[in-house]
Amino acid sequence: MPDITLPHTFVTGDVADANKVAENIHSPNTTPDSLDVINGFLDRANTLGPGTWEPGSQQFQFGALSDGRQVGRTGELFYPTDIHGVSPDARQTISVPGCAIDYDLRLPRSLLLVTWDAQWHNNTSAEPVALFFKKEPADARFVNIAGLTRPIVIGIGAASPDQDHTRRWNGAWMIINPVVGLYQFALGLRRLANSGGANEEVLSLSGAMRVHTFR
Amino acid sequence: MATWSIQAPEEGDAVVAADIQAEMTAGQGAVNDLEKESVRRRSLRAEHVPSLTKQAGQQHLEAAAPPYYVTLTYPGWNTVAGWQRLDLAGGATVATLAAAQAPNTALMELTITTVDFGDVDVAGIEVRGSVDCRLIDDSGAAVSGNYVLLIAVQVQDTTGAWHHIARSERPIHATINGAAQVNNQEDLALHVLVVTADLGGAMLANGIRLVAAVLDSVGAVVTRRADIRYASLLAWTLHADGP
Repeated sequence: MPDITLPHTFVTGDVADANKVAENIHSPNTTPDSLDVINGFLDRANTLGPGTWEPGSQQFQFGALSDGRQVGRTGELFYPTDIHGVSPDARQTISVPGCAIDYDLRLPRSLLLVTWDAQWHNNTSAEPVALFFKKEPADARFVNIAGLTRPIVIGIGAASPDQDHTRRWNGAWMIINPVVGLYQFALGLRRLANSGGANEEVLSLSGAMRVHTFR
Repeated sequence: MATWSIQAPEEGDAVVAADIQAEMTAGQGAVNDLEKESVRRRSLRAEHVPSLTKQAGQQHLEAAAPPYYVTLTYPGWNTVAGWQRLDLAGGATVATLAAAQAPNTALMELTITTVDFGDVDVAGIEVRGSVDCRLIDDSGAAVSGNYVLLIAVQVQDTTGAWHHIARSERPIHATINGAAQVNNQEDLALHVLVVTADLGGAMLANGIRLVAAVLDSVGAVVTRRADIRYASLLAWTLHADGP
């Protein structure tokens, strides 16, 4: 309730009581009712209201309401045989160019949303595309979130309807009330335990990743 | 009253109560009805703005015991009943702004604190979903046909009734020539803004879910099924007034 209702009213003939004048100017009440409202208590009720005027984009600093950035790559990437070595290991990953983004969150937000889309075209073996990222700035390393993975299935070479089939993944992840700091998000490739080791593994992969934040 | 101009008394003027009142009343009016000219451009920062989202939640599932099959027959466009809930692991999880993120378990449903669409400050509920369909087959039978997996979003009101959002229905097509389509591996993305009209006259919403169904082009085969391995559901509310 920031609207001012002055605690004292003076009419002609009243004594100009200094204390009452002072209280009209500054009364540190729980519900501000003096001109002291301008000391940080102004809110929506002080505007002319919906339909007339409320603060809009001209009054807010850039980035006050939302922010975001995007990276992407439209080219194709070709990975050679056994890109991750022999031993399947979740830590043996390779980031997908165009699907890795750093975001420096400098203002408190209620929501940070990461979205990505990736397309790939596989010719042989099974490699999962997994999202690895640091959930919080304090995290020391990338982690894998269960459920946020997609297998890359066998394609070329098999006389099946999936041959030469381009797969896509439109994924999203949110962080609620994110702490301020540097975030790193990335799609990473890693090898499945059952992927063939002897076959040539050629994979073309492209995509984009975005970060959106909401006040 | 865009500005408040104080009439400064001259030296020797009497301090008159009515004049004091006039000045203060002018100040009161200026503050109570701030006009655009009273707020400098780019003067408001994030601290002056309420949050756009009061609550948000997400689910990311990998089928606990794959394959997970969607077998219910498509009930028809804009039909609320007859869809299959995506229950890849069982249980339910809720994540709100005040709660820790708790993905990786459960049904493709999010329970949300009641959103009142009768409030002019409520813009809606944004929903983003993703479903990975490994393949569609005919329970191993050697047949040919065009099969479709459909995914949709439904919103629940506080009476427990679910409302179907017809415009959210999205298909994945698969052609089968033999027992199964091998490694279809299609990913389907949904992005919907739930608005008042989606509640069928109700005003209070407290749930979001993904549903699925299958059908075939000839409508004769009843053993079709879609193998789902991964799914995600995210929802966040949009408000003008904030918490």
